[in-house]
Amino acid sequence: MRSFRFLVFAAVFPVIALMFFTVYKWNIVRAGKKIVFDIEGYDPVNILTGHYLIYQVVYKTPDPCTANYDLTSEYIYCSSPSDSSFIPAGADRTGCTVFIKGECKRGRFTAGIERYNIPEEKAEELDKKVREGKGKIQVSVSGAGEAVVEKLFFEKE
Amino acid sequence: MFGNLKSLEKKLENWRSAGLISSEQSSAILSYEEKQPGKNLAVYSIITLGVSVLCLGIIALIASNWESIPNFIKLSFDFLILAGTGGAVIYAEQNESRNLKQWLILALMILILASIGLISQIYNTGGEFYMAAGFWVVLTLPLVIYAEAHTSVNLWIVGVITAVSGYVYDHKFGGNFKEPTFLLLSCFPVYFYAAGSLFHFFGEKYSHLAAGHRFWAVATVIASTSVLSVFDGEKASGGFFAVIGILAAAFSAVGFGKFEYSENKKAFYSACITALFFYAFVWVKESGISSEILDAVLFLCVWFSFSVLFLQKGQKRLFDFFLAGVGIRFLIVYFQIIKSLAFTALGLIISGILIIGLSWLYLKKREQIQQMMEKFL
Repeated sequence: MRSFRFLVFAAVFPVIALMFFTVYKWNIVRAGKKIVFDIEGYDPVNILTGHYLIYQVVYKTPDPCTANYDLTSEYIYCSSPSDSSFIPAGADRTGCTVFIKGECKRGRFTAGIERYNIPEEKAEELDKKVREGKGKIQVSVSGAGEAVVEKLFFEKE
Repeated sequence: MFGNLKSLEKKLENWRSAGLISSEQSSAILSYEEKQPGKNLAVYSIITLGVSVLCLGIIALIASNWESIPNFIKLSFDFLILAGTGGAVIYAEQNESRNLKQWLILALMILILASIGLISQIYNTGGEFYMAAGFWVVLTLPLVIYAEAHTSVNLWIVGVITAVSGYVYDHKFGGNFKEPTFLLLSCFPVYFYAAGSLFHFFGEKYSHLAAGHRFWAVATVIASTSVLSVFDGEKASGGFFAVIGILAAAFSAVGFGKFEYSENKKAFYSACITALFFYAFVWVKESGISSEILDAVLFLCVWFSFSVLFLQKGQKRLFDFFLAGVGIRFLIVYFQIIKSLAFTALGLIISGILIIGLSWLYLKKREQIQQMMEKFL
């Protein structure tokens, strides 16, 4: 017979772990450095995939992953007041004001910020806005280079 | 052992007719069994279904996008449900309510998945579904070790398969479909059988995990041999079989160990032979040297050695199942050989007579065939 203590651990561990995970994400949004990117590349016929808007982030520098579709290298998007660039993971980051970690996937730099949850009732409104204007995302970035999409908004062209 | 009373009555009638037991003994046995508080599988299964449907309803409720409700409220509500369910599991254990505890464990596992979905939705976490499945597998592992219900174990194993398969397809072989499929279909049986043997080795309290993993070992071998039969061979990356071989040897050494070998030496040797045939089958497909006849021969060897293994373990129904599979594969070979003739009227008539004849013969002589195989082996 397994011990009662183990059962208590089994029941409590997932709850505590999920709480930590939530607080971790919340802290990135609260305390992370903000950066805004343009987005593009959504399917003009069917913008939404389920409840998510999938898009491509427009980085202010050429994407090194586009050279080879099968590339799976890790890169860091390094942004400073003067310019931005992609550097290999593990390279010196001292010149970066904000840096975002990611990897190459299917010919694109991917950092976990390529989709945004859309409420069902907003889908039609979003469809109209996307066609009218330019989409942007505001991203919060932690000191460790992890990014969370805070909000999605539009500016009319 | 006696699933329902009608079946028992029939058996008792047969034994009475054969003079094995008297009428008084038959009545006494029936009377005793009627008084037993047997597990009502139908009710148990329906309640399990109800728990799953309830949890899915909660998932749908949480997933519906209530813009007017702040994320903080949604998350608080979610954690309250999780904590409440966890507390209920502990309460059920203290009150020795075995069935209630199992249902609550299942409910907690499903609610954990729902919570991962909610957090992902609120913070727009990137990543694929298999990453969430992997996270869920880690979080629910202690619960599964404690659970005794097959539903919970099978659900967890499906999570493992989803996480591992997703990772392999996403990260390996540059989008090629066949190579990761080969890798997965050849590794899963090894992993599940080794894990099942290990849990069996650790003792009775892990028997549910042993049984679940062994079930999936058999299921993945069936899937592997069936799916790979229709694949053309394709060269895999270097070192593929070296990795598989080392894994198989390591798991076998740990899994079979002194305990299983001493339990049933014949079954141990049969399992080794089955593994060898299975890997010969996979290697032939992977190396590109396969042909219809070679595929068929190796398929038959794998399934026949499985039938022998289950016969030695006393699992007659699985013996029947795998022997039936051997029979069906023979028929497929027959159709492959005679090809165009098979679909002429005469060919179909002969095939039909052959199928009926062999099946009738097996049904009539099943006991003798099993006894003969047991003697020989």
